[in-house]
Formats: sequence, C-alpha cells, structure tokens
Amino acid sequence: MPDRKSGQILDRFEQEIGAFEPQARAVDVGTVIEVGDGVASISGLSNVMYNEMLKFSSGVRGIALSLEHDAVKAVILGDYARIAEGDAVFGTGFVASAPVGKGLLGRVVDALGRPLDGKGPVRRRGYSYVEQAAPSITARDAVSTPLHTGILAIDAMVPIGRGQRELIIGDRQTGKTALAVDTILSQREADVVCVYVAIGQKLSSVAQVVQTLEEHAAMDYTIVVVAAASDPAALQYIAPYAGCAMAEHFMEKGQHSLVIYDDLTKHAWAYRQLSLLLRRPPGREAYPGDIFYLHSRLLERAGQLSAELGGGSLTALPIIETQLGDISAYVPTNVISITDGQVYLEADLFHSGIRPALNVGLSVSRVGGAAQTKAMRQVAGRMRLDLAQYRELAAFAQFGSDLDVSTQAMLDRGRRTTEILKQSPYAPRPLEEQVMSIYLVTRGYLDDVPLERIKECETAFHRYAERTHPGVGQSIAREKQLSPDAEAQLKAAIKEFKERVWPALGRSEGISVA
Amino acid sequence: MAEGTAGKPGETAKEPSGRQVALVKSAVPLDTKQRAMILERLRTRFGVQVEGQFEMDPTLLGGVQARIGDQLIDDTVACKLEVLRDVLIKSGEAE
Repeated sequence: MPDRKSGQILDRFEQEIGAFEPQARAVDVGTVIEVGDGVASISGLSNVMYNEMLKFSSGVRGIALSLEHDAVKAVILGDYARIAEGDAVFGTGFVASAPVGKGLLGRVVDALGRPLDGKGPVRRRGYSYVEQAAPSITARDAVSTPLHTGILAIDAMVPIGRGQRELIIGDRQTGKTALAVDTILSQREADVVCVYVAIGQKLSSVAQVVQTLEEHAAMDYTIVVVAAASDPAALQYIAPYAGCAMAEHFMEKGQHSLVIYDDLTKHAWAYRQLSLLLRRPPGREAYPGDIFYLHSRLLERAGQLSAELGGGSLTALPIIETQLGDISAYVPTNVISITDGQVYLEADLFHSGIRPALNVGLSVSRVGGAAQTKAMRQVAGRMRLDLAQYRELAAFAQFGSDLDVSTQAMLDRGRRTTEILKQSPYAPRPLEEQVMSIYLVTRGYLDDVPLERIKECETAFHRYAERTHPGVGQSIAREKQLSPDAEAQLKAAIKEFKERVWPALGRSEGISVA
Repeated sequence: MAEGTAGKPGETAKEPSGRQVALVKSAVPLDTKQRAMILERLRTRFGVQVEGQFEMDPTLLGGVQARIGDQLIDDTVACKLEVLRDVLIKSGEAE
C-alpha cells in the first residue's frame, strides 16, 4: 500500500533528522588555477591525500593524482566545462571508493557506482577503496578449482582455474567479448558472481552485452560497470579498479567471483591521456613509465584466498585488442607477462569459419592444468598437442597430395577435432556434454562420419544419450570424472547409436534431400 | 606580490607580520561587535593575527563561513542542509 510505504519513509526521515547533529564543518579548500582537457591544477588543499576525492564548487568531482610542491593536479570525473579558474575545490577526506554489496547485482553502474540503468538508487553494503593492496603470499592458496567456461575449446585445451588471470587477446572482431560473455553465462549454476567492466567502448556495444546477459537471465548474478568512450578519461581509468573492488567484496566473504576487463588496451590509452595531461614524462609509444604497474597492480588483486580467509576467489579475464595480430606490441606483451596464460583469437581462423577462433599453438594456461576436472583430463589429455601438430601438418600437406596413410589419418582426425570444437556464441555447454563430444572424436568414433555432418552427428548423439542413457551424463556431472562404469555405458551408447540411429538419420536425410 | 600587501584568500603565504586574511561570508550583514567576535575566535583557533574581509551572501541562508588559507570553516545553514541531504541519501542506499 502506498500510504503505509510513504509513512515508513516519513518515519525514517524523522528518525534520521532527529539523530542529525548539525556541526560546523572544517574542510580543506583550494582554488582552481588552471583547467582543461580533464585535468585541473589547484593551489591550496595542503592536507589533501593521494587519490582523495575532491569536490569542485560546481558539484563536479575529481581525484587528486599529482601532489606537487605548489599545486595539486586532479583528474576530473565529469564535465570539466563546468569548472572555471578561481573556483573553490573542497577535499572530501575520502580516498576514491566504490559501493559494494549484493545490492549491485543486476545493476549497470558507472565507475563510481552510480546507477546508469534507471532502476533507482543502488543499494550498497558499504564502500570499498578503489585502489587496494593485493592479497599477500600467505593469504593465497594455489589455484585448484576449475572455472567452467562452457567453451569446449577452452575447457579442453586452455583450462582456467578459479583465481587465475587468463588474458583474452586478439584483433577486433574476433569474438573476444563473446568469449567473455559465454563465460559469464556458464556461471549460472556455479554460484560465481560476475563483474563485467566495459572500458572505452561504444555504448551500443555495451547495451548489446547487457541485453544478451538479460536474455539469458545472467544479470541476476552480474554487475556491469561502464566507462564508455564518451566518458572522461578519468572515469575510464578508475573503472577496472572499481569493478575489481566490487568483485573483491565477494571474494573476501568466501564467495567466488569473476571479473572481465573489456578491454585493457583502451584503459592504457585513457591512462596515457591522463599522464600526458598531467605532464608526466612519456616513454615508449608515449605511455608513461608506470604503465606496467597500472595493469600489474590491478591483475595482482585476483587470486584464490586461503581456507583461513574463507577460501574465496577472484578470477580475472582481461581483454586486449591487438592491431593486425601484433601481440608483441607494448601493452599486449606487458599484460601477457602479468597474466597466467592467454587465449589468442586469430582473425584468419575466425574468417575461415573456425569459431571460437582459438589459436591452439599460441594459447596457453599456465596454472589451469592443475584445476582441470579429472573427466576432462581423461579425455582431452593430448588434444592440444595433437591439434597443434595437425595445424602444422595441414600447412605442409597443402603442397603435396600423395601422403602416407598415417599422415592422412592424422589430418582426418585433426579436421574432425576442429569441427567438434566449433561452437556458436552464447551457447555455453555443460561439462558432461563436452566430455562426451571429445570422447567421440578422440577415440575415433567420428572417423567414418563425413566432415560436413560431424556437428549433426554430435547433436544427434547427445539427444540420443540423454534419452536412453541419462546415467552417463549424470555420473560425469556428479563425479567430475569418467568412471570405468560410465565409460562402459558411454561406449555401449555410442555403439547402439552408430548401429541403429545414425544410419537411419542418414537415410531419411538422403530422401528429404532427394 | 609586493611585500606587506594583504594576500588574497586562498593564498597560504603569511604576511611577514604573521597576519592572515580571512574571508568571512554571512547571509546577513554583521555589526562591528559580531565581526570582532568572529575575528577573535579565528585568532584563538589558528594562533595568528587575523585580518577580516567581510562579504554578504544570501545563498548561505544563515550562519557564518570563514576561509583562511587552505581551511574553510563552514557553519552556515546551507552547508548543514547539504550535509543532511547526504546523510538522508546515504541512509536510503544502505542495504
């Protein structure tokens, strides 16, 4: 009832106002001496802290980033056209912070946690410093639990563990964001809180991601932090740290969280812009000297906490966009060296229809192997090496036609494996299905199926297995391994399917085509 | 700046004599006695001789605001309302 609700609000107001004790306020104050392009020089503010939030007299906020002998330089988190020379600037006494808590789930907020989705005020548990120290050595545990991405190629060959930092790198339009979104969609059953940080992106792209998440009911456990291309560079600069603080809150409470920084190339650009405006000396590619630290301090905050600290985890999937596949540029090499592995997506593969366009040779996971489920290790053990070998062989085989039988067999198997690894976006797959698919192809059960019908055969088999042998899938999902019993059942199911169902499917297809 | 001239408010440099300029704003004009009282209070708080520069600003609604160098002491109605507004918003956002 509206009356009761407004009564409650009034009561609460009365309470708050009754408890309010007006006091004279003493604050630090300074004067703007120079302003432009998102940066202001301020005289005064002699007691200001590094990273302190400042408030300009027009209401715009800023962050003190350079404390110099006779001036404070601040980056402006809003419309700098509203700030004039001579304006007063007030210190707030707070270091830049972001709201945290469960209330943010399902919300789209900016880098300071202000709502952008028109769903009313953001409910927060408290505030957390945007910049925080990473967990110490003793606070950490080894990465040992898998983070299921739902993408067959990744879960089989570059497995990611909870608490890991896995870079997603590739040119524009190679499916980097789709990969990240798929991973979010797969966390639905896994109880992993996701934070998607969009940095310097077009608002239309962000809207599309949010829409996809909503369509798949993934916003219930996701926070979207947006600092779009049109937002001031200062907001783009702090957005990933704010997103990280939001995810950290869940990690510290013993929960699991996943944060995606899309993308850190634009983050580096924003920071380069600020650094140059702050007149810090430029280095290679005009980036400032602390560009490495910019990303290392952010990514170091990911990790698996020890059991004494609740055993929570924060997995980070930073995204880097390369220009023409150049992964040896400055920022890509930096981030590659910081992270625990990378998923390299290639434009050529993408255009030849291999999607996700994972380059098997250049993609690695340095810690995820320990976190791979036993079932996956059982079936996909040699897959990465085999596939890398196939790619090499395929390149050579283009030149000659008379190949020996074993080479031909290897090429055939490789083509079929590549086919099985193809997956459409926004369709993450459960573990049991992945294990069965890999089992099919690596044990040679698809060798006699024509290449163009591999996907059809796979889907038909999954449908058949689910209907007639539901125990196999359930056993894999439950035990996370392929027990001898389940393997025997799986073999039986494949045999039945290939003897009775698949030939029939082939015939009916043949008739319908004819 | 020539030595001995009164500095602008916001400039931290003290005059050689150790005097500082305070910019005092109020919603209504202050009489001499009130002015003297304010300057005396500022002197005890900051421990320096304070020279007053008085201004009237009706947007403050009531009370007094004084700025000395980098410090602003705000005891105006406008400031309190702003603080109250922040308190109410914050309590509405808390989980």
